[in-house]
Formats: sequence, structure tokens, C-alpha cells
Amino acid sequence: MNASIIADYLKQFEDYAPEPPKEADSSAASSNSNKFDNGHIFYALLEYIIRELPEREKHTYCYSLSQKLLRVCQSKERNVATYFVNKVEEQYALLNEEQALEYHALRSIFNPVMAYYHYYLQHDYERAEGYMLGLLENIDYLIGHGFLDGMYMKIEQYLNTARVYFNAGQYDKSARYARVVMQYLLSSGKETFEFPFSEVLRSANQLNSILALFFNGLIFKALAKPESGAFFRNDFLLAVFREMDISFNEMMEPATRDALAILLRISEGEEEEGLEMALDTQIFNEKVPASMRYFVLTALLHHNNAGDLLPEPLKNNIRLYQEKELGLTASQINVLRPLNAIV
Amino acid sequence: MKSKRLKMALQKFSEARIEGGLEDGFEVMNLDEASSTRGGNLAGCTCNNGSNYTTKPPDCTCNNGSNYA
Amino acid sequence: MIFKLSKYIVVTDVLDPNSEKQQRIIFSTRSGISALIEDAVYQKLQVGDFTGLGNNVLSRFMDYEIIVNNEEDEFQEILKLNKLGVKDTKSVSMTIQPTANCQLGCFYCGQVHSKQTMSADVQEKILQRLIYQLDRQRDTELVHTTWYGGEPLMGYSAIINLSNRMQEIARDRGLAYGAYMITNGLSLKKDIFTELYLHHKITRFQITIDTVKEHHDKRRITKKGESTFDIIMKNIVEICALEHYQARVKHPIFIRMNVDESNYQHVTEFIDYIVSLGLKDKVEMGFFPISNWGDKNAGDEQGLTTNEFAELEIEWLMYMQEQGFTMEYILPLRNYDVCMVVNEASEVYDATGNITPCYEFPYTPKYEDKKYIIGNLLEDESTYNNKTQVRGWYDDLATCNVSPKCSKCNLFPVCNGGCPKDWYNGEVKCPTVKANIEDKLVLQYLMDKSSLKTLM
Ligand code: SF4
Repeated sequence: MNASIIADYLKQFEDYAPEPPKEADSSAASSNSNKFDNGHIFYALLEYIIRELPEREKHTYCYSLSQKLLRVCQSKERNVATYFVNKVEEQYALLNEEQALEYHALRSIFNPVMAYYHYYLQHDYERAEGYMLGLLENIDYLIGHGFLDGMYMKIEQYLNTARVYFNAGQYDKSARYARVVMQYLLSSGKETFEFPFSEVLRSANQLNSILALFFNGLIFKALAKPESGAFFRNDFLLAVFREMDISFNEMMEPATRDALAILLRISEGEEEEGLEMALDTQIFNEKVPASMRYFVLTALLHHNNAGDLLPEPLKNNIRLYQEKELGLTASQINVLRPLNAIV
Repeated sequence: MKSKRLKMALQKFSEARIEGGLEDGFEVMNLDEASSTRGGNLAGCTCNNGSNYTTKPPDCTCNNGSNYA
Repeated sequence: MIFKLSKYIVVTDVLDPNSEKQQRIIFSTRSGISALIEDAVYQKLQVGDFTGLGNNVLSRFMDYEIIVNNEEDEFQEILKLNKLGVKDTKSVSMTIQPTANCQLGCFYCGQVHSKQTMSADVQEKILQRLIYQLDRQRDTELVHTTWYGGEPLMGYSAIINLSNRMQEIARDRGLAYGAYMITNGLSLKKDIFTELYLHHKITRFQITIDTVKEHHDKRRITKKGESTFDIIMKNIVEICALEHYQARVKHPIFIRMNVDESNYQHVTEFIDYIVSLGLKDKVEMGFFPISNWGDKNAGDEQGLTTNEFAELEIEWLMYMQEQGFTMEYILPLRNYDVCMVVNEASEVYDATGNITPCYEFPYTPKYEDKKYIIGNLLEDESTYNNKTQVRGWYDDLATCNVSPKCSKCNLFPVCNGGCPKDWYNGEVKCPTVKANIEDKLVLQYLMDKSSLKTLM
């Protein structure tokens, strides 16, 4: 494809201006409602067991313990974290498998944080894995018991497991988990899990925000790590997304579906075709996950050095777009950007 | 309270204040400051309305994403 | 499992007894959280009745350590957490005394000054010690120096040399670097300030002025008896007028007032004076009670009692608010360390090469004994004593070897014992917050909820 065609196409960024920062709260709240908030599910679970079981104070205490551990992990307080790890372990020791609901619920509350601790502060992927795999069983029990929202936990756990394996350099295993969960989320049927995701979904908005989170989580990660595959031919991403053979959930944003197809085309080596698709579609809109837009934009700029043809102000605008619209941090831009065309 | 001036200031404040009850009988005043020494910032969660679940956890630490970077 | 109201709670009286909604302020010292609470809720907490609390409130009370596990010995839990927390400090902090000399001869100062300045050898060893500390503490993110003396500016060339080298070490390792200085302000000319502030990252200069000229010049005088107030104030005024004065931080200069029986009536007058010079938005101010130091017992002889000082402090804080000083937060925070003495990544190096855990020890005859000194930089590391008395503070508290009062005090998590050295010396020395925490809670509440100025 001729670089000048691409340059023409990229003129759409000429008028790009970053949105002024949003005023706090009210307006943003309504338009963003139904976002996926992973933190809340644990609290929802706490409320579920409080409804079902006595000993409200004990269960609340366990929940609060997990939150404290999570917080000190996030702020990398390595030594203080051990204090809470010990407290959590005391509670594990008291669990009795015969009290099945309590057993699985409290483990579902503790396991993810313990996994996080071992993964994030100790870099002990094996132990993290142990906690995560155990957790998947616990969640299944809860879902079977009636806590359908456990599906949210489950999908997140798949993503987390994929991330942990990815960081450990085990790309095949990582891709396997990622593929299963993506297949589930993207499809309209139940695929590998017990029931279709639409049974717990609150809205199309929610689905798309979850998808964005998952796509970005996987794609950004893969692109940042050359060991997982070349930028434009990333084996990991191919292993996750190629030939899914599913009927797509109709609530899914059509442009996102297009973007996925383009990404796959290019990654499979059919760059011309992929780019032609890009020119025919409207993927540069806020509904498409940032990681996908980033990939396609980079491919366009890269193709026959099209980026070099752009006038300075347009280059600047594109850079601004990457920063503000795609929300890339400076370090992400540096890691991810494979070409100097628009510096 | 020992300071007389402070007592007077408080009284003046109370008189001027439109009486408002506390939701839950309790209202935290310094989450930001206190959080600086209790592991990260707890305050400023913007996701309250985004919750999918019936309730929102207290002092949500949610960042609309996973902790697993 | 049984739960209870934590004993680490401070509660004010009902704020407005005439109102229908009886509210108090509750302060959890285990978390540093303060909150308004309805009296009825508080009464229930006291008797351990949590049934009326919603799930959300219950979980927050646990999160804030207001409701705690009954089986735990809270004091021991706090100590455990403190010892771990100190290790998570993520900084190596050095207090460096480049000289043993000082121009002044303040009557309350416990140091014995001499002409000795820090040799090149000792400087070299400090840098090696820094590297040792950084290697030992892999999580370090910040290298921090406090320049202290004697009067540190009398060892200026050592400061410049060390600062350059330490900044280089920090840079090489990708660490942040920052510094403070405690100075009498006599030689802090604006050019020197500029050099230290801009190139040596000293962002806080603590200068002591003991209130108004009349009183300052009675006590903060040169060894020959000359007065210093005018020179120091002139320096401050000139520095505050520099264009780049607030380039790095809002208040590079912190004015410390040492207050006792003889000058406490002049604190507000001095505040007025600072306002009249137009410095109210440029400097930060703080008041400290004069206390015993080494063999000098000025605290006993003419200090105010903790209670007296605590009451005055509230009045001064309010007065400063009235005058328009910005003050954001006056409540104590939950802290893991009592002060530098419990943190092995925190050491004091004096001009002779002595390493101590507390900056009140060097040059002070009372603390020449081995139990106060870690070692000397010029000697082999194998001779170092890593078990100096004060370093064992938390262990000694845990076994009730010292300061039984602290183990029963509800302020412990935010105070951690105030000044361990004093307790070991057999002095009972609570910080003033012990005596005015309730007033501080109310004051902070008014600061948050209103413009305090209009209430006075
Ligand atoms: S020094 Fe005083 S205020 Fe501080 S913990 Fe000990 S007894 Fe309490």
C-alpha cells in the first residue's frame, strides 16, 4: 500500500485535541456506570456469606484482613506484609472443609491476595499459582451455591493466572488461560464455563468495559515483551485470539470486532490486507480498546515509513493522541514504540 | 477540652451549622492524611457508581483494573 | 471469635451538648483515622454491642482498627508491626555533623564544642558506610541527609564534598536524594542558601529563634556574648526575597522557637513580627519546650510543664490561624518508628567519626559511654556495637523493661514513646500531644469544616 494513502487517512488526527480533564464525579459517574470494578466483588461475596451464615463479625474481620494485606502489598511494604500474611495463615488453619460455604468463601477472599503477595512481593510464581488454581475450585463451589457473581471473580482469576504465567515467561500456559477466558467473554454461548456470561452481565456497556480491560491487559503486556513474539507478529497474541470459531456476543462493540480482525490479519503476516481493512473501518473511536488502536496506529505509521510523510504538527498530534487518548504512560510509550517515525 | 477560646469557636461553629445527621452514624474526616501511613492511598476512589454489585466496599481501593500489572 | 472496641482510641466530649444529634470525634491511634461519631453509636461500641452497625460500617471500623480481635494483646501487636514497619522505610538517612564547632553558646545546649572539623578520611568512610547501608537495604528508594552540628555551616567544605559524592551515588543507583539542615542561621547568607538549596537539595533549613529580639539575644548569643538576632533575621529576610526561594518547596525555612518560662509570653509577639515582615506565607513555624540536654538541666530549671506547654500550644496554633498562616494537618500520624533510634538505616556521624543512633549523643559528655556509641568510622566494623541501648527500644518495651507507662497509653501507636533516651534516663517525658490531643482533634475538625478565622 502506498504510504501516501496512509498519510491521507491519518489526517483524521489533524483536529485531534485532548479533552479537558473531566470535572469530578457527577457527570462522569453516570456515563461510566457499569464499569468493571474488580475490588467490589469481594465485598459482594462478604455480603453474600453474611446473608447465608452466622458469625458476621468473624467474616468481616477476614475480609478486612485481606484488604489490609492487599494495601500493604500495593505499597510494597514487604515486611509489614508478612505480619498480615501470618494473620491470614492463622485463619486458613481454622478452616474446615466440611463447612463448605465458609471454607470456599473465605478461601476465595484470601487466595487472590495471597497469590498477589507471592507474585508481586516475593516473585514466587509457583506459590502464586497454587493459590490461584485452588481459587478456581472455590469459586466454582460458590457459583454452584448461588453466588452467580462469582463469574466475575472467575474471569478475573483467569486473567490473573495468564498474567502470572506470562511474567514467569511461560507464554504457552499463559495463552491457554487467556484464550479460554477470552473465548468465554467474546462469545454468546457458554463455551467453557457453566453458563453464558450474559446471565450475570448488567449491560452492554459493562461487557465492553470488561473487554477493554482484558484486551488491554493482554495486548499491552505482549507488545511490551519482545520475548513473547515480535511486535507485528506476536505468537502469544496469535495463540490467544486466532481461529476462535465462536459466534460473537452481539453486545460487543462492532468496531472492536473489526480491530481484533485487523490485529489478527497483520499478525498473521497479511499486513496489506489488514491495513486495507483498517482504512475501511472506524476503529479510532473511544469504544475500541486502547491497546488495539495503538497496535493498528503503529502498523499504519510503520508501513512503508508512512509516518515520515506526516507534517510536524500532525506528528505531534498523534503523539498527543497516544498519550492522552490511549492513556499510555511515558514509559509505556518508550517501551512499546517500535519506530522513531513520529518522535 | 481545655482551651476556652477553642470551646468558644466550637460553640460558634455549632450554632451556625445546619444540623445534619451522619450517614451510618459515622463520618471519616482524614482518610487522605491517615492513609499516607497505612499503606497507599485509600481515598479518592472514583468508582462508586461503577459498582456492579449491590454494595460498594468501604474505602474501595479499586483502580478499575487489576493489581496484576 | 470475639471482638471489642480497641483501647487505642481517643474520644472527645460531645461536641454540642445542646443539639439533638450528639456527636463526638473519635480518633483511632492504631490507624490514625479520625471521624465524627454519633454518641449513641459510640456507647454501643463501648459495651461491645456491634449488632446495630451496618455491614459496611462494621467493616470500616475493623479496617480502621476501631473494632479489634479480642484475643490479641494489642500492645504486642503494635510493637510487632512497628518492628516490621521500620524495615519498610525504604530510605537510608544520615545525620552528618561536619564540625564540632559552633559560634554560639546557648545556655541550654548540652554539647561541648571544639574546633574539630571532619577530616577527609572520615568523609571517605561515611561514603563507604552509605554504600554499605544501600547494599544492605535493597528496597531503598531515597538517600536522605540531615546536616547538623555544632553549626554545620562551619564545616561548609565537607558538606559540599559529601553532598556532591552522595548525590552521585544516589544517581548511579537511580535513587532519590534529599537533605535538611539544622543551622543557627548566622552564616546562612543568601548566596550560601542558594547554593545549598538549588545544588545540594537542602529543602528545609531549621533555624532557631527564641522569640523576640530581647529574649533571643539573652540566650542565643555567641561564645563571646554578642547578640545574633539582627544578623539572623536579616539573613532570613534576604533569603525569603530571593526569586527562587520557593522554587523547590513552599517553606524552605522552618523557624523553631525554644520556649520556656522566660519567653512564652512573647511567642505571639514574635508571630506578629514575622507577619509584619511579610513572611507569613514563606516560613513555617513551630514551638518546642526547652528540655534537659546532656548535663544541662534547663528543662528542670526553667521549662514549662507538659500541661502548661500543651495549653499554650493550642492558643498559639489558633493565633497563627487567625493571622492567616496556612496550616493543614495537626494530628499525629500512625507511625512505625518512634524516631531514628529504632531504625538501623539511620545513623549519626560526627566530625570525629563516631557513629551514634541518636543526634543528642555526639559531643555530649553524658553520652560518652560505650552503650551509646555504635563505633567509629575509622575503626574496623567488627568493633561496632549494634546493640546500643536505645536501638533495643521496642524489644525492651515488649518485655516491659522500660517505660511501663507507654504500654498502657492509648496514644502509643502515634507516639511510640516520644523520646526513648529520656525513658532510659529515668525521665518521664510525654510529648505535649498527650496533654492536648482532644483539643487538637477539635481544632483540626474546625480547620476542616470551617474557616477557623471567622470563628474567633
Ligand atoms: S511517651 Fe507518653 S504519650 Fe507517648 S506513648 Fe509513652 S506514655 Fe504515651
